[in-house]
Amino acid sequence: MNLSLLDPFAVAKEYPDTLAQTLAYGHSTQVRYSYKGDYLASGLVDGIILIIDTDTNSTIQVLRDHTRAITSLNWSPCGRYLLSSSKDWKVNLWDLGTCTVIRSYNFEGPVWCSVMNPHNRFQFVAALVDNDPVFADLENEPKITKLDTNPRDQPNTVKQSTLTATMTPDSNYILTGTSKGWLNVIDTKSLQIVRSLNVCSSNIKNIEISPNCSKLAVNSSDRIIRQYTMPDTSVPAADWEFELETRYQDAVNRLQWNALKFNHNSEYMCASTLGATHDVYIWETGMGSLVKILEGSNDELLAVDWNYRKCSIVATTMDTGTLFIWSVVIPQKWSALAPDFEEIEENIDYEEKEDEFDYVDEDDMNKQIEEEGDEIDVIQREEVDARGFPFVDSFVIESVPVSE
Amino acid sequence: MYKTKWTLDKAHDALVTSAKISPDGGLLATTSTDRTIKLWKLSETGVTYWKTLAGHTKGISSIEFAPNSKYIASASDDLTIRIWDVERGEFVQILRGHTFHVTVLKFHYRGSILVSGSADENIRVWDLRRAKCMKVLSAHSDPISSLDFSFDGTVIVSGSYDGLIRLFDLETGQCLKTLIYDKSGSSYPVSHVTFSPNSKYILSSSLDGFVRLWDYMNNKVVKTFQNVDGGAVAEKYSLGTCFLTCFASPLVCSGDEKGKVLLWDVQSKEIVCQLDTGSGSPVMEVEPVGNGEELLTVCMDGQVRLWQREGE
Repeated sequence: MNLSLLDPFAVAKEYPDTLAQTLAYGHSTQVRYSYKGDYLASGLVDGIILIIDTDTNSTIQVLRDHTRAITSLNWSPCGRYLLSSSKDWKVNLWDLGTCTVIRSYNFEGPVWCSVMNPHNRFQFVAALVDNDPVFADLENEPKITKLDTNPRDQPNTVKQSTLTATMTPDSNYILTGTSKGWLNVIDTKSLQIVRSLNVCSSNIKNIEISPNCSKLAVNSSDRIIRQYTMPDTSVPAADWEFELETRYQDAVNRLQWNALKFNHNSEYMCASTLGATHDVYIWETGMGSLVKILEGSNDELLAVDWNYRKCSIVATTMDTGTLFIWSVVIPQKWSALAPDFEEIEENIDYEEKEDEFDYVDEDDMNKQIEEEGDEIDVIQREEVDARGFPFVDSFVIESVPVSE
Repeated sequence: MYKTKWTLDKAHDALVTSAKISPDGGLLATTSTDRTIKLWKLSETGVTYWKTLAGHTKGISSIEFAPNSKYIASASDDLTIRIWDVERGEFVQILRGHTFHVTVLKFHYRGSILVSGSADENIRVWDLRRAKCMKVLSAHSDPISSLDFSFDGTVIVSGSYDGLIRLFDLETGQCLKTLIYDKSGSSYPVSHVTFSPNSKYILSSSLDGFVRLWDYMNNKVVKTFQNVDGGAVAEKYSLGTCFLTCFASPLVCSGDEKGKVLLWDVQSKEIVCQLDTGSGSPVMEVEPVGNGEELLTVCMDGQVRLWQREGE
């Protein structure tokens, strides 16, 4: 509700521009905002996960079970469940109502990343170090299915491994990336590779699908992010067309991109950099032009995430694990402080109107009360806020007041 | 329209300032100028005394349950706010910062933030996790009488005896809007403010005796509610108001200073029902349970009554 009363130009900004906050709550390796943006999960190098309230920036819950660095975090859309993977070989599913682990699975090695099925919190896909990726269903007895790494219709002669995985928002397909630059599309039902695409010849580090499912970005260690039109997932995968839209690279500084994230409508993309510069780059995805460099960090940046509703971006740093948060600065409207204040661009010579201070013998209040005939709806809420996001109820995580 | 479900005739020996039913419906908390909070267990049949929370050194003017019903916040004339653990019956935090009587409190729906208003003319926003004051909103020039959150928790509305209603952005602490009613010549102290269920309107009471519904986006009063025969609702005390939404047409509810509870139809502004508490003293608070299936009324002389809806 606040947005409709704030400066509309500041509210209309699509991406953050100012460093607003740094949070040094342990050495963070992974960050993820909940879908509603009201909480931030931060995974630490020692395996602890912190739940941070984004209104107060204080840690309201501490989740302890993992013993090594957290490698990925995923929220369920309802905001109650969190999936975490760690270098301690484990993937945990947390219930934030009780803040306990409700499902856990021990793999045979460290986990690169795990991705929750947005439609079934007990299912996830995980990329494992030196092993084939797996699709897991932990609802009842754990059911772990190995997925192929070798691309479809390719001879099994080149040794490669799967480094990353993601799932389409409709959860019908899994996308994995290999160490030889292959992108594999796996059908979630048959768990078979239905399509393979050779993106480049080096490691694929991240695959990112925009929330509205219109764009796909592949980040690889050849220092290029390739952005594709996301194929229509309603047609068979064999007919998918991957149209290369843009290649993002910094030819001068030869920057490695570390992590990337689309904004909610995929019009912008941000990526953290590894190397001499310690910045987050933001591009406009239509033309692929760089629109903003978020500066302020004195350390190399690792994970990034975008809080769409609050229009802020968070990044973790490599050496200290401090969180850097950039957001939009909204100027105080001075006209808000009194109903008859007006903000003017330049000085205006005041001219008293003819009747301005005339005494009118009229009962203003009774006149106003008589004009109150209109039907007023005090119940029906607005459906969306001023940025166009629907007002949704999300799970509220208990915050315990600390004793003095 | 409503019939009595149960009545507590004398919740405290001293003047009662506030009473609340916990969000889970299991408890009643009453507070008084006698410096204590009393907790009562509610059941289908009635209300039984449970325990007393003591610790404040001066009278208490406002209490609020946390959304999870496990904590109570209380605002006292001893300049502090205390957060009480209901089960343990003792306080877990003392929030210090206000420099004069703390008058009013409100919890954010997520329970991690509390806002307080004080006679020191400031509003404070507290981070309960760390027991720290996050922000001080100093924009009023007289005591704060009332506060409320919009349903999404992003906007705070405040009413003050300086006659202004202000809206603040929780995130930045900026003043978003100011409303003032000066059509009756001068502005009167604002004694109570509350958001409509959809947070598009603000219901305000002021000591000129009127209850007004504001369309705050357009700086306009859209409805004015008056006592029987155009009389004043309240001219001396800050009496609570609320919306009752379980009826086909929503109602506005407020007590008056003579022990009556008035229910107006929002659209027609007509009084559709009057409930007589029989106490004759000001009705300090009216609190709907759920969306108005039950209604709690609190009189200053210590009478607390739960009304149950009866018919349309």
